[in-house]
Amino acid sequence: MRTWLVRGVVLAMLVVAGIWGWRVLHPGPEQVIRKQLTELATVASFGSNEGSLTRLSKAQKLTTFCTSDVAITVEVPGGSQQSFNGREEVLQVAAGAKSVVGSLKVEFLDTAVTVQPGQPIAFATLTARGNVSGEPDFLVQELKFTFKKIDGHWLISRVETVKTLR
Amino acid sequence: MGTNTEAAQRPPWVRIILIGRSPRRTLMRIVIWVVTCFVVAKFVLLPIRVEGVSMLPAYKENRVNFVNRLAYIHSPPKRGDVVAIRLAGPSVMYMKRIVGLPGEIVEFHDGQLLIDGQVLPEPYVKFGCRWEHPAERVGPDEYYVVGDNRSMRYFEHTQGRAQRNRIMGKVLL
Repeated sequence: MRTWLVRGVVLAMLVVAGIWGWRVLHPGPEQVIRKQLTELATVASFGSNEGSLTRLSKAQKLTTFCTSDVAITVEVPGGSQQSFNGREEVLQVAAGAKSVVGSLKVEFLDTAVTVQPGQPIAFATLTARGNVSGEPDFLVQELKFTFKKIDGHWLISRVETVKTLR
Repeated sequence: MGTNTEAAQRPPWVRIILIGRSPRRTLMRIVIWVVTCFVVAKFVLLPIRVEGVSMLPAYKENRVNFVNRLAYIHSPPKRGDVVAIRLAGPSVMYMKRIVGLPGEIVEFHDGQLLIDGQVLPEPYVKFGCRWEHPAERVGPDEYYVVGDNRSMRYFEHTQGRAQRNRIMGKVLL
């Protein structure tokens, strides 16, 4: 009885380890997108000790996460919207922001990813939290990302702010 | 002789302090405590830390508080309740006061809050304002929420209609 129990436990552990190993080696679209968003938050962040060249290269790296026709729509306080289209414009805005702000730490929290079945499209909703140097409060914004699978890579095709309170 | 045997069987005092007389029972207690704390913190009383100044003076920054997630199981949210409103999830939440109920018309005129055209007395507002905001109707499944501190300009303050499913619970303290 005890031998069978031990065998059962060992078998269950092997199955769990096998599933975990398979998922590590062959990540699904959801895992890939989550990993990409984590990398995006790291690239979007920068410290006060980073030089302008590093900041520029980080801003350029930001565009590699996006499709060439990426569209970013941001609702700014006061109710008006600002839109940036294409990698070039995103690069300009990112480089400009990095030159104005001393340091920025970006975190993506509560990420939920939905992959459209049978389609190369996925959506991710999350809360972006930014900590700007010199600012006592965190900046928080709910965001919705639209991903498209292009040449085997999941790229951001659209980013829009979500209004938590209407 | 019997006393010596008992002394030999008795665990040393350090061990008694650390893991108790019965390690198995202590382990069970620890497991029960951890599970209870996890369930309470996740599903009953959500611990939060207040950040920002929008609920001053009632809720000061960096204070720890709790969100009662069971508050609205049997009754709907009420006017005057301070609630936690989730963004994408529970990691970051807005702490606001409910001032407008479903179906009501909310507007700000010269800093005064009007509900269905009537001024709402707000004793909790200590920092007045001159806000102007046109009348808007609160949807059937929505609540109008606003912070107590209105010393900033209207568009610098986060307020508006929150969907019922975004209200995580009532702030406890």
